[in-house]
Amino acid sequence: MSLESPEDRPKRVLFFATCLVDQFFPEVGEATVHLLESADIEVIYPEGLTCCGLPHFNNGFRAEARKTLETQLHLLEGDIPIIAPSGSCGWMLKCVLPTLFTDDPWAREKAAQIAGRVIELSQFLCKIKMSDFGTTLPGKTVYHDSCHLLRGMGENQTPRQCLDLVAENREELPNSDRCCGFGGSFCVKFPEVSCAMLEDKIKSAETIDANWLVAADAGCMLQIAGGLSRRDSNIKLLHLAQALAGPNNPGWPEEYRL
Amino acid sequence: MNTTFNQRANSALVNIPLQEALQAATGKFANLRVQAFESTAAPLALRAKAREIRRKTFDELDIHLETLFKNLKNLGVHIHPAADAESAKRIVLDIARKHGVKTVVKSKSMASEEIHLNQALEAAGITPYETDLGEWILQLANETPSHLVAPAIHKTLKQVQDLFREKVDPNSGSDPQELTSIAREKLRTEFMRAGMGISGVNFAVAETGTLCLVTNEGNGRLVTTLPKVHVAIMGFEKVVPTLRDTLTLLSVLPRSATGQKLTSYFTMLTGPRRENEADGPDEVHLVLLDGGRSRHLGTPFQEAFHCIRCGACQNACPVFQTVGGHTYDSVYGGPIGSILSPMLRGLEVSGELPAASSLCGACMEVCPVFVDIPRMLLEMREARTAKKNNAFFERFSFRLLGMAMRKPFIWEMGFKTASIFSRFMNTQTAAWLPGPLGAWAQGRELPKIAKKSFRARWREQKRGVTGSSATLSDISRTDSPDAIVEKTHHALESAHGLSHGSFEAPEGPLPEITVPDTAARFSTEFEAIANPVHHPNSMEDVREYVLNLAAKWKEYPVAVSDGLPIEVAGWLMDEGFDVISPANDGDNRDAIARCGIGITGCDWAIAETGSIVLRSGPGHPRLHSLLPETHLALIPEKNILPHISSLGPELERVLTPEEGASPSCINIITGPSRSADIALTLIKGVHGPRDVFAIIIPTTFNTENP
Repeated sequence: MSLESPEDRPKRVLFFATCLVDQFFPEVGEATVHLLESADIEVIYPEGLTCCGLPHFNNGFRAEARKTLETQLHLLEGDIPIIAPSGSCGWMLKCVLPTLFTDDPWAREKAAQIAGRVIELSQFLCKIKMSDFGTTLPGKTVYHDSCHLLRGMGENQTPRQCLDLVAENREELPNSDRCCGFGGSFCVKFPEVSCAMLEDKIKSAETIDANWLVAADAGCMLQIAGGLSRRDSNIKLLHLAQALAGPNNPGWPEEYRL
Repeated sequence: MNTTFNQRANSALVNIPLQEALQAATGKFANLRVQAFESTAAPLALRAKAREIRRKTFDELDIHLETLFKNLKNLGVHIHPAADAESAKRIVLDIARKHGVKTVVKSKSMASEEIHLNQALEAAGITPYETDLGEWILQLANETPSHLVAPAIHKTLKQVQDLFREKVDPNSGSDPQELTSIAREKLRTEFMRAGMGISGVNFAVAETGTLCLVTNEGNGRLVTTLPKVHVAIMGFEKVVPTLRDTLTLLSVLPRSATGQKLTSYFTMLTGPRRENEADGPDEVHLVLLDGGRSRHLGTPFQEAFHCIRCGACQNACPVFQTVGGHTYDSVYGGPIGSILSPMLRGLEVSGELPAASSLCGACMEVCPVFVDIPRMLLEMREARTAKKNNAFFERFSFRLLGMAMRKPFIWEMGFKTASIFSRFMNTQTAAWLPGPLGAWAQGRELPKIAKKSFRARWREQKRGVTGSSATLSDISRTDSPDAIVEKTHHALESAHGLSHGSFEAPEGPLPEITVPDTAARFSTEFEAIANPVHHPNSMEDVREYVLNLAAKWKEYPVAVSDGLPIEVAGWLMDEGFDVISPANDGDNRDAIARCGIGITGCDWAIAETGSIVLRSGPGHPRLHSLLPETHLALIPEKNILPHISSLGPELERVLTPEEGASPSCINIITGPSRSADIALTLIKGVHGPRDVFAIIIPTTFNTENP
């Protein structure tokens, strides 16, 4: 691992693990912590954090989302960067959170302050100028643009820049910016449409014989993992943090052990 | 009868021809769109300007509507406000009855689809003919449009062939060109005799009272020229303050819709036929349809009115690409339709649509005016919850979920319990369950809840701070409101207002690619879509070229407009051609229709798009460039303008004259009449000319007859 200008980097960061990582992909959390600690950054994880409220916000329950976030505001206070390993949760905290408390100046100010500190993992890694992750991902790697990171947070560069530092061979996934069909409740409200979109996504990775399909959002991972195992596909799914932490390092999936 | 989105989606998913057609069409349009914007100097700045125009229009909608109505009245256009579909239909029928109309020709109008006008006309004994090729096919098939700009994309060539054989001509050919020729012939008869033409409106220019149509086939021009009565139907969202604004919107609309720099025809209709004009309707009516629109002004849904109906969001939407337009079961399908339909028909009817999106944001990314569709989808879902339009189960479970999220202990226990249950659950058994689990298991393996959550692992390692990283004094609720307002104002500026897109409009005038040689650029652009441009070196050269071209139509008369930059009528007559000159009173449509070639001048040409601009007037009938199969324009080199925006001041001058009459019709003609409505195959000469030729007459040219 090496940093070009270590003096610029923060000493501590707050890790917003997200509920999906916490309960479904804890390895992604471990990989993230490994990445950050290897850069000599202390990771703080307030255990009281549960969910960013996006499921409620996206389904027309804004008041519920607001209540959920209100109870967590105090956990996110401070002045250190808040790292989200997910574009959708990142978008929720960065772009939606400050709009939720229009009638509550106190909470609104806290929310704006918190939102200003939220940064997605790959954005953060690029911001601190990570130039080497000390590991290599063998074979062919492709990146799936998670919609909320791409269009919500407007980021399509940093995940690729980071991957290029570890991937032996990174290629562009055809239609990488097309939704995988997850969309939160969309995937169970419209299962056939969602699965058709998922199939397109998996097929496009298969057509170019990718070994590793990398996503930057646990939502997409839930969906794509479900489709890959149903199809018995050879494509292996990784979260960006796992890809960057590298094979056999903390957070690396047991079943992929090289 | 009442099917759900999922039921319709499932039929669409197994409809192989539909899947193939959808993939081909949406993919093609999306690619062409990208290419078309590449030809502008600053695509984002152009779209930002278009967005600004739409925003500002709705900030002062009342003022612009007032101006529009005033100008329309001055022109003698009858304005009919219609609160709902019923009154709109009654108005149209009343006009038709007053004129004893038996048949009506229609060009594409989504507003008329909204009110189901065709059924009302038929019930009143009036035969409506849809004349857009795609719409006509759908009328024959008794189907509804499935796409905003390509209404029949869901139909394959084979299906259209069968339809023509069954409904039009048992011996009709099989390739798209032959089928189009049949349609041309059949509909031409109807154009010539229809008592009334009904059209939609793309833009209604407030400052001049001009109703604009953006079309490719030429049917829009015929519908608004041949019948004595023209009825236009639109919602208030079509209003555009100025001509210059209109040209900006015109720069983004076809690019976004079909990937064209300009469509074949941009038709600007300013009132009925003037007394000294040969053709055009004697009466023009505008039906202003509210139909559920006005109640959304000043609400979070007002932005949906910014939509200029290009259909780009449909082509970009992965859900639309997968299931097609009919699955939305409403006039407006796709992302924008999922907002417009509930707005116009009510959440009770179309409440399912806002949920039928993965909120991926691809729609807003391609929208020429950046309509924030995802934001409004969320607002719709919010409204649905507020009105309790969603299922009790959904409301109950989301409330429960919310409570758990606010109690980390319960949250954790919940997952632990679920994890235990999940040991007895596999995908096969889950697939039998109702609700979300069963839905998930239909095509995906169930996700596994981690045996040990991240927080458990973290705890085990006894690492770091587990509480807040801030001191308590930071978070006490004691800040004074004033101090907070001051502090937050700046912070909020960047974050205020939920938006999926994150880009800022550049300041200053819109950059444009410089066109050093307008004649050369015009020729390149014109030749890309039409025929070789002729650059004559002498009068004899012009004579030879015109006679050669006319000789291809030796058996037919030639229509020649008056006041051409070079008088060619004499040459043609000397060679024995039957020359049809503009009529002095009323149109001579039958004579012009027999012509093989129509020869016109050119008021302006546009280099960047290869367009010819013609205005109607004495000696300049609209039909000369429309009815014959070939159109030849004589273009004085000095009339070639570099950009579409350069036309703005010219149009202002002509349409708001200090004295005299303005032309009732100005057409921007870009290439031949064309359509890709049958199986995406490009066909020329649908209703208007199949071939367009141009002669550029150099400024230094001696136009004395040799």
